Amino acid sequence: MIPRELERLLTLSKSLLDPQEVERVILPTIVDALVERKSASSTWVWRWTSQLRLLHVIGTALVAATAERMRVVPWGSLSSLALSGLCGAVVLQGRTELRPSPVAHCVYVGLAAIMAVIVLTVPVKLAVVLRNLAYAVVATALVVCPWLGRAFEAQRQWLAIGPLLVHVASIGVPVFAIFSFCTLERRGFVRYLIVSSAIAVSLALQPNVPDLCLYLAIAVVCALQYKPSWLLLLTWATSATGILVLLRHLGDASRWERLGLSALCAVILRMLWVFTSQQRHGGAAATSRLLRAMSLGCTLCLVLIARELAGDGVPLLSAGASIMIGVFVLFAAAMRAAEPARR
Amino acid sequence: MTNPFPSEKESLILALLAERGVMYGLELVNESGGHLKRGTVYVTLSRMQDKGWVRVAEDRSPGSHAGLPRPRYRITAAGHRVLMAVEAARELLVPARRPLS
Repeated sequence: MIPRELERLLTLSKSLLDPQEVERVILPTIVDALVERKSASSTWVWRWTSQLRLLHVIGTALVAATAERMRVVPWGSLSSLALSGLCGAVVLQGRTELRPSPVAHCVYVGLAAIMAVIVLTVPVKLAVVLRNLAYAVVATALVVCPWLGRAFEAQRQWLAIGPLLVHVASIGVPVFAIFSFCTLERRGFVRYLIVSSAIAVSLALQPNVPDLCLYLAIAVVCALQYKPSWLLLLTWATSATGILVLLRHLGDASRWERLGLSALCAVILRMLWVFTSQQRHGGAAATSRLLRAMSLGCTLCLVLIARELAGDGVPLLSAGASIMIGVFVLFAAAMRAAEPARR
Repeated sequence: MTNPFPSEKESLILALLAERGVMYGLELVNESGGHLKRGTVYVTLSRMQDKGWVRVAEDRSPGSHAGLPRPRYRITAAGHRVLMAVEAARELLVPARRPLS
């Protein structure tokens, strides 16, 4: 029989690690501790030493699993996306009538990239543990405390976190992304549909069009997991989101030409991005690298051309913390959803 | 994609298993002269199992440790090949590190 204190840590490890890791790493450590108990001089010392050692092993296993996931993060695609976002800062340069400032925009891009990496690397079990807590926070902010935050652009509930102005719904985007691939993997579609509907209702109380689009896109992308070809949908979703935001900024009909140009650029960019990110040319590394470099170059060129021709600031991925975080997280969610099919 | 090259710890484990045959995780730690730590040895062994360099010996019948089996590790043919490649590379590279004088 396993001692109670080690049993507790075993339960903890089961909630954090995959069953294979528990079997290969945690159980042998417990057996080693039991072997040493026979020769231990003091039961008290043995108990504390074995507990600390097991905690250390759980931490090591968690870090190793995260490091392993970091190795398969599509850094090329992520950097391409980050460059697209940073190009927005170039467009925003010198345009005081547009929000946010270039510096704030760069901060948004960095924050969004970090959140994407979190979604890409978080252990599924840990996400399940944290999910309820995160949902409670977002649901409380959206439904129970509608007075939270301040109004901006006719929408309430914008939270000022340092230099960031984030809509409450945006905080839920990474949570929803993690929840989506967890639930679909373990509990099936019906439960997912029920929870998604509940979230949609709570979001409708404080509508924010880009966030609503992102939630919808994440739901669709994750629901169609195991089909990486549906990642293409992601490109259209992000482009559509960008266009919707532009529509909000460019309500003037005389700017339709610019809008069309930016939409075209966004679509081309997104297609290039997906084309290179899915490693369709896995066998030819040189071709893959060339295409990726072309994608980065095209991203830069398109944004600069859009700036010159359009005459108005038209960031391809739009601007603002909410939308930047959403786009990056959507990208990460799509990658996680496609994981089983890529193995 | 997993790293096809062994780390120093992995090379050491391969060398110990090639020399001794079948070993427990704790034995590997004790025999490594402080190079392997108890906190990381099973994580390393798990990764090596994924790479196909070691496998758990078939003798995994439940022992007297609270009914839990105590795994023993054995080097595989792939592990032997990796070890030979590491040793060959070491022989080639070590003389080159010597000062010219």
